[in-house]
Amino acid sequence: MCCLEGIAGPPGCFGHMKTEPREPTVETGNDGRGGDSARSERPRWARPLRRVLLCLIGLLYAASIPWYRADAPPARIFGLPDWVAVAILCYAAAAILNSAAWLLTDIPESIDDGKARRR
Amino acid sequence: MLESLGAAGLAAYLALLVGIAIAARRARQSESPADHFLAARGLGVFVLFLTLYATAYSGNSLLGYPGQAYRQGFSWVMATGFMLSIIVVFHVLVPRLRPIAVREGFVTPGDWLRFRFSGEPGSRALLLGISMLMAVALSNFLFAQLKAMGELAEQFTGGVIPYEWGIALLAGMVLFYATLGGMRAVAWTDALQGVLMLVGLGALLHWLLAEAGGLGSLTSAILEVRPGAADLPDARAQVNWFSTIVLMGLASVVYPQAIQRIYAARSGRVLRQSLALMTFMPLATTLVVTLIGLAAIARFQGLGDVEADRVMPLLLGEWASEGLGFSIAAVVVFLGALAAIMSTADSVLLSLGSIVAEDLFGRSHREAGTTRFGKRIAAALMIGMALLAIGARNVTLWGVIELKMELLIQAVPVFLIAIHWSRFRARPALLGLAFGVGIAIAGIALDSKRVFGVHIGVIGLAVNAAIACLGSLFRSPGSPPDRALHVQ
Repeated sequence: MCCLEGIAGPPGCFGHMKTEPREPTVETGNDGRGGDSARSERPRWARPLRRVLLCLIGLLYAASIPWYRADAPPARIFGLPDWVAVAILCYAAAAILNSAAWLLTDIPESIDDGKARRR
Repeated sequence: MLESLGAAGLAAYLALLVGIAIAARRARQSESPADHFLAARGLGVFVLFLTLYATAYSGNSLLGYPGQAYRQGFSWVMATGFMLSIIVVFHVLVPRLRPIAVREGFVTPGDWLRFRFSGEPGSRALLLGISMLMAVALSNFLFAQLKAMGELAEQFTGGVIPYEWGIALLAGMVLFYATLGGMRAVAWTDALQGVLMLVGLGALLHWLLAEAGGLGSLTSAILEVRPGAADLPDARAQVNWFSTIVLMGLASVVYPQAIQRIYAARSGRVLRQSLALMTFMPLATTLVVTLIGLAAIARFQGLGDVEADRVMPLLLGEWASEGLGFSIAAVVVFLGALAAIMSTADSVLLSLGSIVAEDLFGRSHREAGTTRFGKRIAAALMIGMALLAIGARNVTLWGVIELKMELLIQAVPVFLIAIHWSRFRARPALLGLAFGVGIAIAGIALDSKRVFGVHIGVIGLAVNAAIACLGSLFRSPGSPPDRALHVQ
């Protein structure tokens, strides 16, 4: 549990690695990539849902570029050329999904978490 | 009228920045680099969000993007996509980097490299290579901000403050508050600057749309002046659209100042919430400045490549001529634009100081002397870049941004791949970096910045990543063991 102890320590105790290089053990935490699910503060469905959201964002990006559209004079949507309006709508949808994905992302707590544990 | 109001607004704004810098100085907890460069890792949701916002949206966004929308037309809507892609690509880096950074007390991006590749052959050269790349990219970025400061000051004060004096005055102010108050002053001023930017841009767009009679009328007016502006982008332009999203999304994620804000957040929860908010800012800012640039097509005809970067000040001048109320609103937008530029310059300056002091000169981030050394480095770099910006006025802002990104994107493998793949090694990464940078520089030098619409930096990155990955995969038997990428 030394990782957690490190995270829970006060800010002043950090910063030793320059003078004391050690085997880098990267703590993946509970970010949805093989971390310790027991420590996760997210529900079980959060991880797969986050992945689905990220895949959907990829699809929206692919749809935002008008590669699939016939080379005809553009119609107007909301007063803009249709391919411009579609791109904006794709980016707006991607922003909503990305925001949700961030709220589902578990970034292991650090200083706050450590203080709470010490209390 | 506008000139007097602009000068008064500028004086009031600079006085406010001085006050914030003094307050930030009083709030310091120690003279340590972590306190100066990362505000003692105590940034909360509101300040972190606004500092991320004000840092990401710079002079390039406020002057360069409207200029590029003016030059390129509707296809510049891609800018909203690539600014959003930064927050998407952060998913690959932030959840893994943040806990390690806090545990190990990282201050600079180079601290990650020391940690990840410690003891490996080639790790020192890799650290120096990446740090130099970042320092060059940041210097380029600082140059762009200084150029934008000078342009804006001259345009808005009607030449009362000339381009050269604008750079000197505003660069001096940034240097003052960033040196005095460190990250705390930078983050607090960023918060003020972010609010000003949002309010100002919203007001300007509202006026432009009201003047044009809505989006439909605006589109018609643009098509009257430039009939081909709404044409579907051809295949090469579409490839370039995709390539720009890749270039900007990946390169922006390894911005040193962005990485340092990951370190500076008070907690993972704070960081997560700030990024969830940040994801909407391309719609509130980049899309708005794109529409502003498009609106300028109908208003100003025949501007050259360099003059196009001045469409925002020209629009503000027109807006202000409508009356006193509009002049005051234009001053708010002017201050918002200036705020965006200064907030990016201050962050870049702070990052540059820490990278040069710690990663290039090898000073320890536990010593207070490193903070003083970093401040001196920052001052020297600021003076050098200011002189360069005064001497090289005729460069387009978008051209400067692309140049920086082509180089910075070569740092992506040592962050995004190395943090996920335990077999990734320093020596092949160094070789890949050399090839990637070489390809990017050769392309820029030979004026072949794109191949079939793909940025030369993206091609360099593909070669760079392929060499680094294949070299790590087929390493010699005597190589060090794999890094343990697991939870303890």
